[in-house]
Amino acid sequence: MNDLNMLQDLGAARDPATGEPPPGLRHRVLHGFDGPAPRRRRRWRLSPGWSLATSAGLVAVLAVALIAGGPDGSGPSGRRTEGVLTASDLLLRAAQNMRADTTPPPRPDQFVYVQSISAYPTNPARIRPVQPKMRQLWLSADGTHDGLLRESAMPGGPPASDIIAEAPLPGCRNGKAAVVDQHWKVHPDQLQDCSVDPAYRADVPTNAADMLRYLRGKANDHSDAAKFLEIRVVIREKYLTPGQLAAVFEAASHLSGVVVVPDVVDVAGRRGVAVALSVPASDPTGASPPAKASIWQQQLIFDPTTYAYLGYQTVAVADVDGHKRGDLLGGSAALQNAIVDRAGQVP
Amino acid sequence: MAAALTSVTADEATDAAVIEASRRDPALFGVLYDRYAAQLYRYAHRRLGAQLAEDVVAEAFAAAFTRRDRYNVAYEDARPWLFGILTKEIGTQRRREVAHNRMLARSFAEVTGDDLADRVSAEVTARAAHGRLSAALAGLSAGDRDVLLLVAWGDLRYEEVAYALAIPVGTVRHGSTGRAGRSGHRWVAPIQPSFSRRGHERPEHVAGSRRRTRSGDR
Repeated sequence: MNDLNMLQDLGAARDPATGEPPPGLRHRVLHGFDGPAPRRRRRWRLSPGWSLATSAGLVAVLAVALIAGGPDGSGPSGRRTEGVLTASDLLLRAAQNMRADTTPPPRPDQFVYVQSISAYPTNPARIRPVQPKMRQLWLSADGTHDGLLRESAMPGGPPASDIIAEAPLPGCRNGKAAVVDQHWKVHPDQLQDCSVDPAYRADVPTNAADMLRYLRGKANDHSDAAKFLEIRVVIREKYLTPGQLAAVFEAASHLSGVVVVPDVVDVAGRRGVAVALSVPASDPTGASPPAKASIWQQQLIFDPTTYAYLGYQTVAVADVDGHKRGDLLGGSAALQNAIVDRAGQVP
Repeated sequence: MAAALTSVTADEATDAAVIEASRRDPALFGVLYDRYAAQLYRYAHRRLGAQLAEDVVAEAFAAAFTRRDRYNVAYEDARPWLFGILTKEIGTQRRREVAHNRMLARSFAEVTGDDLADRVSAEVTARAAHGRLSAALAGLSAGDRDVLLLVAWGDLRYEEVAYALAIPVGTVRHGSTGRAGRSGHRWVAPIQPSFSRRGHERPEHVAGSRRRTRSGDR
């Protein structure tokens, strides 16, 4: 295989999944042909002052680049020099930071400790907006050990109505787990069927391409919106290795419709910068094109200076269904993620 | 013929005839979209990924539409012209194209594990090569990347690349021999030793429009 063939092979690997332009593009393009006014928003740059190389030269250029150009090789640098941070920039920067982390994953007998301030719409009819509460989870890494959940009201805040002070999370062994009754009391002598739910899965992809396929496999449909919404499910209250989390962010950087919200406040009251996708109410999966105005928006929130992942939330972006624009509909602000040896142990 | 062009006959008309007719009937420009949108989108998708591909293709068609009055109808095939316009749009996203290539380089590189069976599998070998190539693309100058990818991914011949980018064909000595006579290609205009700055469009200043290049092409 010569260099040109290799390059063509790479091109084929980068083709759009369907091989076709997005269905909305035709309308977007042709719509502009009726009106008289051109919609150009910027001037073209003049042609660069270089010449077409010879055919041999082209391959030489490629060969030199193959030798000299590493992933961090030369080229225009400084993603933020233009002053506008795009969703893609933000996600890639967050991913880059994750890649630098070499923390080893948990052993099967260990526990993933997840501490967060979370707000869930457990009873949306009664409580608007939702009340945040402190949440501590010890999740069995392999799903076979007994985990634990503790919740408490926010200090100084209004009492949340649906606090679970302490709940056992029985491990699933040989397809059976101990029964937990409605008062959160465990009955070790009564067993019920279960399926193992490990907090850490080694088979979650660590590169963007496989992560996109992974998200597509879990999402309700093949739309980018459905994939973005699925991200929350994949990362919340689980252990993802830095490489897996980086792949999530890299995958998200390829999804269309994702925008930057420059200044958000998370459930814990921290300021952050978010990447977000807005979804119409009638279609919580985001499956169909947004024919109706969006009424809620899912945000993935990052620290504005370090780009560390802070958590996610869903907020109303219109006054509808008894919600006011800006209301929190649910979310989770990550305070601490750690690996510990036993349930109940605080790092 | 062009004056009588309708949506019905547009299917058989040359690109040049379609563009000429679209100067009076803008809706006919949609014929060009249907002919070339898929390949332009695929090319943009390969270079920039899904998120930006749609935008640059839309911008390219909008730009082509506003510039259709200046299209030189001596060139029946509008493909190189459209690819040239698309290349300029992609050029406005140069920074993000480099980031895209680097990201793909990293993700392709991820698959090379330590397991011997994995490392020798064909898929991993191919993907590792893809990673190195993506990294190499990120390291190229924008001009070199345009030329290389118009040939490799846009399937343009060297004269067409020169034409699309409005650069001197200059030192291309053998480019036209290797791939000439491809079936289905409507390259009818004579190959000129050099092109005006505006390439596919009618030169507005014939005198003094030659572009001097730093590599000393004649």
